[in-house]
Amino acid sequence: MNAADGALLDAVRSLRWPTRRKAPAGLAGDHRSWMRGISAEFEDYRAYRQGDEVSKIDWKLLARRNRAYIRLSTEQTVLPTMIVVDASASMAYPSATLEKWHFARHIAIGLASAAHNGRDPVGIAVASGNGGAQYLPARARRGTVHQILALLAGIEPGGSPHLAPVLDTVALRHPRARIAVVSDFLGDAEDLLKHATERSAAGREVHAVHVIHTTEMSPSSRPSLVVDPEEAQLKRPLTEFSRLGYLENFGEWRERLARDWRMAGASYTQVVTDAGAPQAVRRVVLPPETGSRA
Amino acid sequence: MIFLAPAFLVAAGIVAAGVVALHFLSTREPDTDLLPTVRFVPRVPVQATTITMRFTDPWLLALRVLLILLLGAALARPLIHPFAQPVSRITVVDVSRAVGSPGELVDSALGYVEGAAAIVFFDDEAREIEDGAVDSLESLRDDARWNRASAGSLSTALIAASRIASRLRDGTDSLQLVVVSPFAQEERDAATEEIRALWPGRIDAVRVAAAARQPDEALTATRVEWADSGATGLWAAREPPDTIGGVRANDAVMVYPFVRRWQPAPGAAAEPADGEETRVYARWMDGEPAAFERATADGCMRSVAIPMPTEGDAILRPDFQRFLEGLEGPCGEPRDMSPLPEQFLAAFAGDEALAPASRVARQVMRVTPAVPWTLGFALVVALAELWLQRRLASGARTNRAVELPGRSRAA
Repeated sequence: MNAADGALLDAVRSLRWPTRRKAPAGLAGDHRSWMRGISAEFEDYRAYRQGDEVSKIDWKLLARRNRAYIRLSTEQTVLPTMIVVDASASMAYPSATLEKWHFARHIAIGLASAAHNGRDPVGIAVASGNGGAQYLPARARRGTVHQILALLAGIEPGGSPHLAPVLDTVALRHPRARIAVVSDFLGDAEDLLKHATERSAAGREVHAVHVIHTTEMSPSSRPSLVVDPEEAQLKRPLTEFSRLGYLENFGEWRERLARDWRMAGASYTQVVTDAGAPQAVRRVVLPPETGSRA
Repeated sequence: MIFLAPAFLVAAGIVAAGVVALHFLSTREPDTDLLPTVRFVPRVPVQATTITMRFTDPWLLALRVLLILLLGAALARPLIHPFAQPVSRITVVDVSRAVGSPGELVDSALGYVEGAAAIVFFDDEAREIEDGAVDSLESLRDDARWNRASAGSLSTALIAASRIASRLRDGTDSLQLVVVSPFAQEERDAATEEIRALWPGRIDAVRVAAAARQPDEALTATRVEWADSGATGLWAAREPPDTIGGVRANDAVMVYPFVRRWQPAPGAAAEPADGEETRVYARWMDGEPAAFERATADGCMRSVAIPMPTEGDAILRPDFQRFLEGLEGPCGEPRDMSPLPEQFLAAFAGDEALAPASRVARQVMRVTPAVPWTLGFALVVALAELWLQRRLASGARTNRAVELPGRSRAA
């Protein structure tokens, strides 16, 4: 763990990642569940129906009203969280500093830390062209965040991996888990959106964290021939004239991407590398009314 | 080797230098930068022009430069003459009716014909004798082949000599012009002196005997026949008659709306079987004969198809009077075989040196023998340049095809 990682963990130490929708039933935790049970937090009464457990009848109320009522309470549960990280060649940018990859890595660590702070099990899946996908199952025990950190530190981004199969695998292995995808969405974006839509429709909480480098937002006006790192034959001249077209096209694509993910029921957050990673993590985990959205 | 138009060669050199400069301009792909979002950059051709100091494709450059220089050399009209003549002689021989003795003419001209760069026979027109000049000259001794009908023209001879001199000027230092002629009065015209002044040197004038005065020259007893009489059969009725604005007879011109009722009968101008000569005496404005004259044994007869003006004052005009006087004049062209005076001959010959070739005007357009060869060589070089260009292009495509899989593996 380097100094930047340590500073990040310090910055998000008090951060929690509340669920945006009621979580499926599970072990006791901080998140409201869609299940109603007999916990201490009272919510409502309901008239006794045949088949209800007799032990759940509020006897004092029965004595006063002469009718049987069942006492309802909200279940609190944990929400496993899986973070899917894109480690394709397009994330290894700029090639000299890998600033975009390191930023995505910090986002993933920050999210994992925020989830772990709420005693949620957290795991990670990294899709890389160099060595295939790597998984770390969701765990709640101490040291999980450091394990995630160590896994990401050993990843060398490259190639053109597909994220959609990784998302499927994560969803199968962790049926209840919340899923966050940290990517630049320059690979199999359509497939990924399709699979994310299916998971969201099934009640999953899905987050899309769109990582953009500052140079991608505003490339240099110096004329040059730019090449796609994932497809070397894709070359185009970036001139003062074509730069305007690029900015227009890229802006339209970002708007369309955000709209599509939100219409799919997922949360979409655009983060740019010139913003600090802790602030970016905060924007992802906090509800829209408390955090600024892209 | 000299060039008749060296400016083209200079221009070709400048263009060739430009080609060499352009050769250092190469179109290549500029330096590349990685950008993950390159797919959002609009599609435009990936090319940039840069200046490179690397000397590439030397054979292609050499062929292109050679091609330009050859084209320039062809346009500059190279003339190859390793041994320029110090003096080139142009011999002009009079073969007109003014020559009295063909034998004397041939004997006088033979000495100048041998070794001459160009030989010209002239009467009222000039003809350059390309091959067999001596034989052609010897054939003039045959009196039967001597055409005495044409008058000579010194002006025509001088113009022909000047044109030949323009052609010869680049292969010689000096030009000698020899004119063998009787120098009769009828061979001189108003332009002769001015044309002579254009020759930039002396003229060697060789005088031979002039012809004696011909018997028909004195025919003045003229008989005028009007076409309406139809006696000579020279005219046929014009159906329908038309109107024309004027007629010309020698130096008399009458402008009047003449009604033409006659036209020349077919074969009217043909020479009759008895050897009598028929010539056109007057012509309408459109060139059609309006009067013929014929020399006969008993004199000269003129047949006229010109109607007398009946309206206005046309018959009172001086032109009409001159026309009437001309009808009574002697028949045939004026022939004056008397020799030109010695003063004229001295001025004609001049006392300068031979004409320097440099003072003779150059021929404006002249294709030298080297031009087709140079153009042919340029064509060969152009084809070679095309072949080499295609070969280089196919080589470049092969190299790209070899490089592409490597890039894919790297990606």
